[in-house]
Amino acid sequence: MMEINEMKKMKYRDAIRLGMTEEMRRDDAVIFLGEDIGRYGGAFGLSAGMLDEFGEERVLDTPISEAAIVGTAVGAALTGLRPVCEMMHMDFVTLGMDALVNQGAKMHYMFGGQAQVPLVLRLPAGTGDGAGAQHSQSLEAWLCHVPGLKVVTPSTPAQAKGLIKAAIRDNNPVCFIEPKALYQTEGLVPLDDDYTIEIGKTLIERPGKDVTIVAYGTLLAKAMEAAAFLEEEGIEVEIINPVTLYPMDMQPIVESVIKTGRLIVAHEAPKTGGVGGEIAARIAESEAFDYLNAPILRLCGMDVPIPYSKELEASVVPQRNDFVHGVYRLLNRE
Amino acid sequence: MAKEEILPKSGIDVTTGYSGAEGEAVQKPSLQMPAETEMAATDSEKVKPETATVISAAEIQAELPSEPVQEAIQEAIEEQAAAEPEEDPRLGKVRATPAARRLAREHDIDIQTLLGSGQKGRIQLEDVSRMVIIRPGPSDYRSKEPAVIGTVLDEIAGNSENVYSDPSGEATPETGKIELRKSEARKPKTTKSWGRKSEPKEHEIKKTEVPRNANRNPKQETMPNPELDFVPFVEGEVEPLRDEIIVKAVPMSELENTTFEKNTSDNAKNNMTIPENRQNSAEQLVKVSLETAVITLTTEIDMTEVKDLRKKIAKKIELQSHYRCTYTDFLLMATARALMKHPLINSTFEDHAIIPHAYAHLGLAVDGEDGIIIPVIRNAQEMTFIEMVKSRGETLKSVKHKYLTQEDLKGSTFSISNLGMHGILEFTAIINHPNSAILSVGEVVQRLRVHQGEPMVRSVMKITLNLDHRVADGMEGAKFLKNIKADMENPSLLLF
Repeated sequence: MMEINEMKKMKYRDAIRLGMTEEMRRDDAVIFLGEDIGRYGGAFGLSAGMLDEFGEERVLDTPISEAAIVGTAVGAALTGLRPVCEMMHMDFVTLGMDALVNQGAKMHYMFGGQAQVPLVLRLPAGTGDGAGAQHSQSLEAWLCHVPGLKVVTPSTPAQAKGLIKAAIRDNNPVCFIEPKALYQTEGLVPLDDDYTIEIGKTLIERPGKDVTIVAYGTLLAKAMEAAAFLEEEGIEVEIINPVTLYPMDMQPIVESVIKTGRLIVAHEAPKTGGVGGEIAARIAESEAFDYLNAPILRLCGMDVPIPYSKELEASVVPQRNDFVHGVYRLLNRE
Repeated sequence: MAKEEILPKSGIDVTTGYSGAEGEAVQKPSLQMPAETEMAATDSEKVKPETATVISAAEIQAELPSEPVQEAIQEAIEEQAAAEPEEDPRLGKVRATPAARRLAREHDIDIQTLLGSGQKGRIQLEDVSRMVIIRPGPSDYRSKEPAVIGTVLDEIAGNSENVYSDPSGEATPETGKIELRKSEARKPKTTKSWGRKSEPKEHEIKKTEVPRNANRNPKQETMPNPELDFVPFVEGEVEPLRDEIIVKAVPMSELENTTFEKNTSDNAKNNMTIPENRQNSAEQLVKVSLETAVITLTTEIDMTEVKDLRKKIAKKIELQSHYRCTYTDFLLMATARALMKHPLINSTFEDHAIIPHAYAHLGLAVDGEDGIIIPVIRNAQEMTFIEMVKSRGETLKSVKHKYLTQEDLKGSTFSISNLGMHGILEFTAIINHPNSAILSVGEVVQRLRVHQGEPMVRSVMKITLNLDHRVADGMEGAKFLKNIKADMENPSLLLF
C-alpha cells in the first residue's frame, strides 16, 4: 500500500506524463492526441510508453496539422471525451487558433451552458534549447486575452503533475503551458492519485518583506536563485508564482505589495503587451497602489524574435543577475 | 475716479475685498481678485494687484451702479488663459511614491517640506516616517483619512505673543481700538506666507515642526519624552482616582491687556500683516475676548478605556460607517450628551440675552487650507455613535474638498478644538462667538497614574473648558466637565 504523502523525485517531463497517465487510468474518456506522441514517444520523449499502455484508440498520432488536432479535440470534447492535445511547440498554436478561440472558448457561452469543452492544450514553450525564432516563443498573453480559456503554467514537477490533473478534470478549455527548459529539472512529486493544484490560485513560493517578485515558468527558478543571493545581503525577497495566468488570483500579490511596497513582474515573453503589464496595471488599480514605495518594474523578454544562438538567446530573456539588479534598483542601491 | 467692480457673491458671504487704489485704473476685473470672507476664504486667491487697499465690499456696492459685469469677467478669464505662458509641468511638483504620500496624508505632514532620499530626490516612505517619529510624545493617531482636525500652533489667533510677534520691539502700542492694518505694496507671494513654504524671515514665528535638515539626522529622531509627571504611590488605603478640576478665573482687566495692541504699529519695518483671510476672524476674536469674561476649567480624562474600546470596534465601525473612528468621535458623543444636561453651556449669548438650545450643533475647529474653520455637526444629541463617526468623517471630507458653504459654518451651539495630534498637552481656545463655551482638547499621552490603588501606566488626555462667565458659572462648567469625564471613562455607554 502506498502512503498518501509519499513523494518521489522525478523530472518535470515525467511528472506531466505521470499526471496524464493517472488521469487516463482513472477516466476512459481521457484521450491524448498530437504529432509523434505515439510510436516516437513525443518530440521531447514526454509520452514514452503511453501508446503501449492505452492503445491507438486513446493515444493518437495525428497528421502534421495543428488545425486538425485542435479542431478534432474541440469536437471530441463536445461529444463527451476529455482530449489532451499536444502542440509540438507552443509557436504552432497559431494554426489551431480558430478552432480554439472562435469555437472551443465560445461554445459553453453560446449554447447557454449546455455544451462543455473539457479540452487540455499542452503547449511546450519558451527558450532554452536554441530552437530558434519559430520554436521558442512564449505566447501566453494571446491566450489570456480570450475569455473562455484558462491559462496555467506550472514551474516545478509537483506543480506540473497537480496542474495537468486539475486541467484534465476541468470542464473548460485549459491551455497548459510547459516551459521546455524545465523538462529536465527535477523535484519531489507527490504520488497520490488525487493530488491536484487548484486552478486560479496564486502561490507564495518564498516569503520576504523587502521586494515582491512575481515570476512564473523558467523565471521562477531564476528569481529564487536571485533571492537566495540577496538573502546573504540581508534583503528579503518575496516570490509569488501566479501559476494560473488567467483567471489570475491577484489577492496574494496585492497583499504582498502592501507588505513590501515594491514590485517586480517577470516573464520571458516580450514586455510589450505581456501578462506583466496586466499585473502591474491591476496593482496600480488596487488598494496596493497607496503602498507602492517605488515604481513597478517589469523584467521581461526583449521585443525581438528569439535568436538561434544560445548566447544571444540567453541575452534577450531575463537572467538571475537581472533580478538582482532589479531589486537593487528598487531599493536605491544602484 | 477709480473704476470699481462688484464682486460676485460666492458661496460664503463677502464682507471685504480688493480694488485698485483710488484713482488707479483696475487692470483686470477678474474673479481672481481675492474676496475676503468671514472665517473662511473663497478659492480665488491667485493674482493680486501690486498695490492693494482694503476697503469693504459694502462700501463699493454702495457707490456703484449694480450692473452685472459677467461678460467682462469672462473675457478677462479667457485673456488670462490665453496669456499664460507654457510651463514645465513638473514645476512645483514633488516626486514622491504613493506610499509616502499616503503616510504624509495620514499624519498631516506637508510633503513639500520633506527631502527625498530616492532617485532624483524622490520622497519615499522612509523619508516621511522619519518625520512621524519626530513628533513629540507618543502618537497613536493612525487614521486612514486625511488628518485635518486642528491647526498648527502658530495659527491660534488670539495669542498675540505667538502669532503676530514683532521681534524688532519697535512696535508702538496704540491705545484704544484695534486697528486692522492696510496692506502696503504687498507682493503676491506674501499672501501665502502663513503656509509652511513661506520665505524665511527673521521675525517669523518659530514653528513646532523640526527644521528641514533634521530629518537627515537620525540622532534627532528620538526626542526625550517631554515630561513624565510623577504621581507618588499611595500607601495603605485604596483611594479612588480623584477628579482634578482646576478652576482658573481670568479677570477682565487681564483680558483687555492681551489684545493686539503691540502689533498695530505701522512703522516697524518688517512687520507682518494680518493675512486677509484672517482679518475678519481676528476682528471677531478680539471683539469676543473684549466682551466676554472667560473662566478656564481643566480636567484630565483617563482615556485607556476609550483606547481599548476603539481598538476593538474600529474595524466594525469602519465597515458600517466607511470612516475610521477616532477619539474625537467619543468626545463628540460625550460632549453632545453632557450639553443636553447643561443647557446653559449649550447656549448662545447675543444682544445681552442668553438663549439655551434644546439641540447640540457641535462646531469642530479644523485646519482648513487658509486657517481655522469651524464646520458644524448638527443635532449631535440625536446621533448614534456610527452616525457620529460618519458625520464627522463627512464633515472633514467636505472641508478637504472645499464643499462647505456658509450655511455649514453657521449655527453652532458649542465648539471643540483639538490640537492633540500636534502634541499639545493642553491649551485654551477662544470662544467661538456666539457660543458661550469652547472645549480645548489636548494630546492623549501615557502617564503613570494610580488606578484602583495600583500605580499603572494609563493613557490620559487633558481637556479645557473656556466658559463665558456671564452665561454660566464655574460650578456649572465643572459639572459639565465631570459629565464628559464620566462618559469618557466608561465609554461603552457612548455606543448605545
